[in-house]
Amino acid sequence: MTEKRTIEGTGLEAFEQVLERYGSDRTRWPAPVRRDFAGLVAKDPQVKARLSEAEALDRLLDLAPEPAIDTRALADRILGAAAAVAPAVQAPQARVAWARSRPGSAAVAEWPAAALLAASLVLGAVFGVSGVFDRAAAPMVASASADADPDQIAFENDSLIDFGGDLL
Amino acid sequence: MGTTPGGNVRAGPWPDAPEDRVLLARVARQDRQAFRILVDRHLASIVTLARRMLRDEAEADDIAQEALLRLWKAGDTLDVGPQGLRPWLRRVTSNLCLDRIRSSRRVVVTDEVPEVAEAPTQASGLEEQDLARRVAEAMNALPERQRRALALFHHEGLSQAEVGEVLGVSDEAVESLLARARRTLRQSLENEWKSLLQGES
Repeated sequence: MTEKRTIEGTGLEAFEQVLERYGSDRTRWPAPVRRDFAGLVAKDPQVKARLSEAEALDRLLDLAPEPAIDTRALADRILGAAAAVAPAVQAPQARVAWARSRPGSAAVAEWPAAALLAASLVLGAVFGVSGVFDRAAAPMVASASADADPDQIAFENDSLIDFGGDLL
Repeated sequence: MGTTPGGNVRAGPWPDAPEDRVLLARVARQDRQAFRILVDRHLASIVTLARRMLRDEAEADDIAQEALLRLWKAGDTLDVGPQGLRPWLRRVTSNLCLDRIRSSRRVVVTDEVPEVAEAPTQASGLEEQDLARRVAEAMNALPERQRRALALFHHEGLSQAEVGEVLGVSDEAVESLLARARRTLRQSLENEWKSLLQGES
């Protein structure tokens, strides 16, 4: 929708109408209004005073309390609906307890998986270059690959979490 | 049980839960615990918005559920944008409400939910709590449509066009409602806003 300007004039009276309709936050004014009154605040002390008054009123409005809502039952309903929508992967209890006690340390919890993967890549490169492992272990590797689930990586101390390809 | 400022009751104690972007990454992997934390954190905000727009408690709850389930179902395709999760959720909620209003063209609802302002607890001291109470009283004294227009525009951040859609009136009518509301509040709260200005000078 094209923003339209419905304020007539550009003087103090027009500015007061702007403040009454849109408040003191200039980002909420229609673009034409912002353009027309852009320089007025700096030039006219009366305009600047009106703006300060409108800002004070808006700060008062910010203090108005929100309506009281108990969302517990609705939250339970939403979680129940989510469970029915898609299979969920339960976070390990240790990870949840850690998450509660150590804010912002999510990245740290991920590193054991990443470190093991990095280590396996390095080992694979070493053996690949030497060629020795290939000849000796090929039958064993082939057997293990046939049994492994390519979509999951299991770690000793973690519950199974489907990382897919997002660790790479 | 933790409580958010303003008195809305949260369902879980997550004082040290990770920030939204970390939780979103886990929700993308269908982590139900992470989703619960996000629900507890954002549900009150979008329910308040939906109730103010629809004036129907049951429909507002349905909309809030739909918005959060969209988050859950999006998986790793979700892109909340640079402003973060709450603005995204509020935008989804307001769009769903507008869709509901447009499809029904309903303005006055039989089960209107009057807003009962919670005792102001987000204010830091007794003086500020008293000030918040007086602001609430002044707003409650406004005619209903002026109060709704101002709440939707100022507190919920809807555009004038969106406020007009919710109230079923033109843009010009919204401007008139907002102007009259502010004019009245400027008079009824004159001592209060002047005190704020004097406190700064």
